[in-house]
Amino acid sequence: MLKPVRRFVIRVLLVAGLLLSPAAPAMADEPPIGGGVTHCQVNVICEEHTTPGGTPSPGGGGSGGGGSSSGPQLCSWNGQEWPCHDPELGWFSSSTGCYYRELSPQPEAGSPAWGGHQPSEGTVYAETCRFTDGSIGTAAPKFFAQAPAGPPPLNPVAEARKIMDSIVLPFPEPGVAPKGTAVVGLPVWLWLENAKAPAPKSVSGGGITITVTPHLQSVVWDLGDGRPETCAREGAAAGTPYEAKYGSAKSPTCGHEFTTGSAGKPDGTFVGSVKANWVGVVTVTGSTQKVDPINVPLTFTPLELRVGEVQVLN
Amino acid sequence: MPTGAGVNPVTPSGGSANVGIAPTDGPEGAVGRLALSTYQDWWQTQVTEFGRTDSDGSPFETYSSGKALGDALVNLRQLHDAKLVMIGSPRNSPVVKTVDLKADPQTAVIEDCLDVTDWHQADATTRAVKDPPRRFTRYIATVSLRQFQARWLIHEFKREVDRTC
Repeated sequence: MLKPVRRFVIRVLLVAGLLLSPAAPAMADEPPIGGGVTHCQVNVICEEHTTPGGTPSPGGGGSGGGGSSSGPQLCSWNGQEWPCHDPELGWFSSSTGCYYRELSPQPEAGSPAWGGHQPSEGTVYAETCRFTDGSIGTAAPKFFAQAPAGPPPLNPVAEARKIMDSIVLPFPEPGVAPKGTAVVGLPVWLWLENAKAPAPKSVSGGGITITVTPHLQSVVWDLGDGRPETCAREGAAAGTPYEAKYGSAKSPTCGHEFTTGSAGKPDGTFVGSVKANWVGVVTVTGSTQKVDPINVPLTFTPLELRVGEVQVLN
Repeated sequence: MPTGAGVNPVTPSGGSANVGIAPTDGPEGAVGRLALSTYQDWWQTQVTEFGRTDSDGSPFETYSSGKALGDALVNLRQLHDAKLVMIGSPRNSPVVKTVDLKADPQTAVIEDCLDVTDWHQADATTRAVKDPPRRFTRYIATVSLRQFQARWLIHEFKREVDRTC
């Protein structure tokens, strides 16, 4: 096989380089980190320092999970050691040299990432591979019937996201009054028909309990007139359904007043959308770890509204 | 032009971006504005999470999937490995190029003029700027979004650093 030999040569050259240049000067005005220049770490502001190293091939000489007496557990692959678990990338497989992180949410059934499998048959993972030169790169998400690496202990952050994925949030169903044509300068009431928060869900294991409580934090109404409304009153983000008894009053929680009519728009209609910003508040008992709230924005389009310039007398 | 409440706006100087935009009215316009607000929320999340030493990148999953998510996680991992954070913030000027309401799932393409001049790698402890020698300033990015159930997700963020704006 050609690849292992090439990797060996690269390693030898790296070692030789270190021996031959013991006192390489640091870049001007650039304090060294760990004895070298600062590399590009974020590929949206600079060019990556990745040197082509070839994708690791399966069976590339892994020797199974190793371990050190202190610090994180290390896994060895291709003669080098990497942490067996990485908070961003997931779990390391010593047989592929790649990290695997369960996708959250999982792709929809029928998506190419499932590779023709049903969601009931396994799980889709994000795959991130270590190259021989120490750089890392991503591949397309992959399906596995069995976890390719791990198994993970109860990780509150990952577990909380799983719980949030399993909670069925109500899709936004907008209610608008008046129902037919709104009138410039008169109050319009906005609310969600089905905004009742689902019950909290918990998972326990290893002495800790993780609870996720869904809650509607805010609703953003894009009414198509360029003046969006954000309704975020504590406990009333969903707005108040209009009833005849309110007459021509303004909504106490969520409303709008148009300043222009929709006559000049295509089909004489404003077209907008509704975004319901759900948040899963996470509490962890039995551990000091704090988990940030999980945001899930759900959208509804198209929201169509006709707005007349002149008040119509009933 | 609505740009959402994300990172600060930048005015493109050239004519190479922002040509041929999607309708701003009607159903396409409504979906386009949703895509834009998702895109700006994604940037706001990146600015926040890249500025933290203790983030595991989970918030990226709210706004992105596929390669865009993978790349953001790798960027975060590399920052942590190098004991760096990002300070400052980028500026941008996204416009919706296309919206496909007939596709299943629905898709949108955004073109952005991204200015990363004021967004820096910095030492996580001292906050001293540790930028690499070769940095970008402004470039065009083409961004694909897909609807996933009732959510919009950034699927791919393609840098086009040879196109200035």
